[in-house]
Amino acid sequence: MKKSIRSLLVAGFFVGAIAGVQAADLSKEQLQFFETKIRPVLANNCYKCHSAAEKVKGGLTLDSKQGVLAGGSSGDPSVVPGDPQKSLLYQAVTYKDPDMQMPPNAKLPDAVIADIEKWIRMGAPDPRTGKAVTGKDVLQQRRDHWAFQKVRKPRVPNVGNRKAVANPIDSLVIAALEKQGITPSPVADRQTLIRRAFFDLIGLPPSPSQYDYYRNAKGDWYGDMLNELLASRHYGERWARHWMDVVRYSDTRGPINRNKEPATYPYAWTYRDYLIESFNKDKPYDQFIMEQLAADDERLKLRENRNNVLPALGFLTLGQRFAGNLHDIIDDRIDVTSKAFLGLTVSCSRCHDHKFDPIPTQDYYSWYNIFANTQEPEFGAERIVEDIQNSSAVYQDYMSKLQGFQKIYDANEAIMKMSGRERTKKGISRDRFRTVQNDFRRAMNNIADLNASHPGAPKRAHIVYDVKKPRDYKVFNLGDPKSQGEIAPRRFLEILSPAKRGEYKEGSGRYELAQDIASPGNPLTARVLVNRVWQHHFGETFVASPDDFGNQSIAPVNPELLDWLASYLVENDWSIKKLHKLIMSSNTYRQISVSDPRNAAKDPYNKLFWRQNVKRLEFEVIRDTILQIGGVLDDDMYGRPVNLSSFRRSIYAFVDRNGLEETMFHFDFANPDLPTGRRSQTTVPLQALFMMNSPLVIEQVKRLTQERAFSKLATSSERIEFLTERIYQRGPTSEERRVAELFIDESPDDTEAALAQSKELAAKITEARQRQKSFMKANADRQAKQMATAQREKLTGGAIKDRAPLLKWQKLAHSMMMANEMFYVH
Amino acid sequence: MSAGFGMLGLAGMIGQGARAAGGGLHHPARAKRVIFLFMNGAPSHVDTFDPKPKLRELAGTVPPKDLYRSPSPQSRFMPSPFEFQRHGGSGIEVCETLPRLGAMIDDCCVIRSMHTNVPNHEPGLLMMNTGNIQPIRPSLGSWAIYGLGTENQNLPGYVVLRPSPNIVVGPALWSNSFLPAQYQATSVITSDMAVDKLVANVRNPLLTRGIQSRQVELIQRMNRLHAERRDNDSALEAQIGAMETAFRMQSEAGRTFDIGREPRHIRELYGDSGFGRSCLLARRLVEDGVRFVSVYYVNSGNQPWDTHSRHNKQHPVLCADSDRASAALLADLKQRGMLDDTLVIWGGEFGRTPYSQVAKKGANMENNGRDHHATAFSMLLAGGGIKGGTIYGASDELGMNAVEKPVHPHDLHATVLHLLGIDHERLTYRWSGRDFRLTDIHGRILRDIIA
Repeated sequence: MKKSIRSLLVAGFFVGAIAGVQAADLSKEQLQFFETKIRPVLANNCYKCHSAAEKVKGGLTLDSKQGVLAGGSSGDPSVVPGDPQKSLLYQAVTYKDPDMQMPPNAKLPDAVIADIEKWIRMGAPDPRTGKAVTGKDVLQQRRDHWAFQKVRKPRVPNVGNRKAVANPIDSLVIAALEKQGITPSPVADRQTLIRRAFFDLIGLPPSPSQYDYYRNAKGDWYGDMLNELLASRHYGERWARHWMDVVRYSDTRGPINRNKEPATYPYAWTYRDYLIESFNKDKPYDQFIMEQLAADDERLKLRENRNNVLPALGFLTLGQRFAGNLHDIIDDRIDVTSKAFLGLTVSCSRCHDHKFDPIPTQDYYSWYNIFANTQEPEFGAERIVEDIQNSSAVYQDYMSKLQGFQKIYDANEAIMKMSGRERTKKGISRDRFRTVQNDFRRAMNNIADLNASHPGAPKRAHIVYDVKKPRDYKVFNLGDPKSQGEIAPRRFLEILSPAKRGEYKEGSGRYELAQDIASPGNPLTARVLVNRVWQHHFGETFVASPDDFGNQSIAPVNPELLDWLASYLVENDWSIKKLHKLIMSSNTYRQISVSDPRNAAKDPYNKLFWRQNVKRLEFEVIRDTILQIGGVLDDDMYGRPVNLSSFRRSIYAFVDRNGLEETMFHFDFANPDLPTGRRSQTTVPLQALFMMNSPLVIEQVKRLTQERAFSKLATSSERIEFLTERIYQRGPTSEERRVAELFIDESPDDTEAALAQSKELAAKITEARQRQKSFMKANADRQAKQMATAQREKLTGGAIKDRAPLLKWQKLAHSMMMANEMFYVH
Repeated sequence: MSAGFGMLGLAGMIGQGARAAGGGLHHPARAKRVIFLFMNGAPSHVDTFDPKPKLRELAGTVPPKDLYRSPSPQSRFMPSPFEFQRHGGSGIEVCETLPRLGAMIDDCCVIRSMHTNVPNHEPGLLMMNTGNIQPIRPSLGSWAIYGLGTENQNLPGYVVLRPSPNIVVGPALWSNSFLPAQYQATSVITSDMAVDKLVANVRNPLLTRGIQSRQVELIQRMNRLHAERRDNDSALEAQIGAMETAFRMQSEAGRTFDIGREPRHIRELYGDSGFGRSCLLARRLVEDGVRFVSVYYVNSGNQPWDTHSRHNKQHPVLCADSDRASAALLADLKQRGMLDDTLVIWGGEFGRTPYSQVAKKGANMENNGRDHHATAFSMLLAGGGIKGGTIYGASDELGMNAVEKPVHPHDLHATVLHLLGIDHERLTYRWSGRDFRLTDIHGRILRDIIA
């Protein structure tokens, strides 16, 4: 079967000039025969894989006369009019050749095969006209795709509405708007801009003092604010997290080979810290690419100690482990590299070429070979990336704890490394091996957990390095390692290379690959990044699929602006901060986000950016904001992961791909197994439940109203103002004041009533629990229960600590935290 | 913004708008809901639903290698020590370790010709749950609710129950993967049945319902004011409903998840085990409109059915527990008139070898186990449009290979979706530049087992 496509179709595309019966010459009988006996058979059994409208497997189309006569990539016609024996189509349907049987699922009924034979004998009368799409056309279409064309910086157009232009972004946006008769929206008010810029750049609302300052600042307050935010250390924490979505970051490994690796990545956090630092330093994006693919390569010039940079390789290493399946691990690395940097889905070509896809399977295996010649240190040998202070007490403590586990690990390692046969030879019984295995696995996980949590454990990085003697392997036909095709030399993608493609000769080729990706001439790299950055400023993109710029993607809106910005990025040393500054200084960015019915009639989805979009805040931002509102946000940076019950920023939370924390899950956190350039945005009641009932929100509401600044306020009006400013970073409207005052006025006199109600509630909860438990006998699996409790504690951070009832102002603040405005930036 | 909510719009259309008569997406549905009872670790087909008298004759002989990939040299054919008994009008033989399921056999179809790709747990589990041997693809349950939407807006559409967090592969088994997050499973650990332990944040520790209701009223007022200033942005509208739903959900979920409301005789019917309680909860959930419930049979062991040693001791114990709860579920659904449109599936990721796995050289036979077996195993289907009292397919006379009408998990998935009114070839989702479906390019609907 596998060969059938091949032998039918190999090499070269040409439309043969074999004369069949001309349409005009068809007799009524011939026509009828074709329409009743042949066309339905072709349509029902062949078009799915061989038609211009669906797939063009092996370059063969059967939905046109020319296609039938031309045949596929074998160069031989599939039908030779008059001669069934020479017609590959006929050969295929007869199933005589075991290597060429069509349709693949089941042989056609004998009567149908007889009809086909008869039809060919008749001279293959075929009334179908219309141009055939041949394999060659398809290849050309692939190449013509906009994203593979060189970036050309367009001329900035003159626009009618010059007043609305603050920088070239505006000119390019307005030029597109003017063509549609759309007018840009006015600039938003100051409070909106403050909140927007803070959330966009640092993922936190302004503190009360920042809010006061920028609300009243004179001069170029907006430019000053952007500068302050871009220089803020919190900037890296916000933007590293966007990148972590794209690179499927996780602190755990997913399904593993339990004899070789522990469940966690004890040093994933060093990659996260590297990302934060890189964004904060405004590391040029090309350098950022080079480091993540080839930080270990001595040819890569660094301005800092290599130890600072080696954790960058977590980009490759921190994917899931597919129970130790090397092919899948490599596939994951190909996937993340091509999607993150190039917006291409190279891993789709693992098994076979695709209809309109630009990446042949050969290219997949060129990359496969790059990563197949890349290896990782074994467990325990991960690279140390700091100078160890041997004498420090904390290090000593770590070492003493480590020794116990290490002893068990070492004692069992030799047997674990033996093959089954060796074990039999040495007389190691299955029972003995099982004990060894259990001890070994436990020790390994203990060591990993200690390294992940102990402050004295040396900082290490999950690095890769090249094998000593790199070599190229063959293509796996249909992704099957047992069926191998031609050698696939290590090199760059055909579609992005000049006609004469060089091969990667030194080492694994990662360094050369990184160079080809980070090249200013690469048409995708800068475009893909600009698209990502724009998305986080506008909630929308030029190219709707940020991880897929391939032939199947939808063409960009305003391609001129995309290209102008891509050129700007490259011209400005790949500085992402300059890109932010430029985008955020534009009037386009500063527009209000309220819709305008006249514009909306012409561009309902605001594709052309005639206003700003309302952006939904992500889980991390909502959680960090709640903590900041309560005044407890711990702004320590870096380090080992923490659990969500801590007050650290959410980026430092442990990300467990084996069981993502429920709240993160409900709030659309990026799936840590898939490169995710764009999170889904769903509205599910479980989110509302979290805001309503979780201890986190309730406790921060209490803290907020316990602040002296609040309690000293005498009037309702002042208090409402305080809460609105702290929670929404703006003053209340008159209607809001009215609604809030009404709520306060109608709340029963606090304390006593509330206390009584609260007691009643507690009694009810206890009673329900008793009832639910009463029938559970002692035989309940105690161990399972303990594990579940531990898990729950880890997830929710435990039960509420302060059980005092909520007073009326707290109920009001609590309500405000649950209202829509909390989740959006305008 | 529009992409996210655009997605919701699409889902809404698929979920609610475009239903065929009878509730299906593409054609009338036979089943409205599914309960998948998953025996983690893989039960033995020759000790449950696939009697092999021939094994008795060959007991102790060496299994020939041409029948199955190389067993270890000490392996011998090992007959089930238990009798099989004919049950019901259909007279289908079921192992005596499953007497209660046996009694329900006229409502069930036994598939004896299952086979899967790889005899290893991880790929086997992933194949059976997600239709792919590698992580991470959307699970059967996620695809089902992607196709059908939720029935009860106040409850999640897809719930996963397991008595312990300990499970091989883990959440990849019920992942929504690239499907949008509203198709995710709500995973519930059922070791403690107190409602607020089952569902996070389902209850406010400090506020009464009365006060919350006033809060919700206030919030809705503020949301209206906010939306008016925003020219009633449609994105905001979507959010506004969620609060009220959540408010209702507190009481609804509180009620649904509370198996303490069940009378004693019902609780006893299911048995007081982690799996039994989970099955009872599964029934309460589907009764109140949850579409898809998976119950995983795990305890402090992450795959209890993986009986590599002491098989003949352990397996019947597992059977007894599972038999009681599974049969109780079927009987309970039937008595409520719900079995007709509730599909219940019972089975594991593969089967177990008809020959022994020797625990220790020269050791007592009693310590022997059975190894993983992917080329033949059995599954049980009941209700939801399934033709009761039928056997589908067959393995060879030793239970080594599926020989008659082999059924791959893809075929099972195609059939499950078909019963739900979904055409598995048309339920696709575009991701990463191509259309994905649960059955990839495979899947054959088992029309013979449909009533």
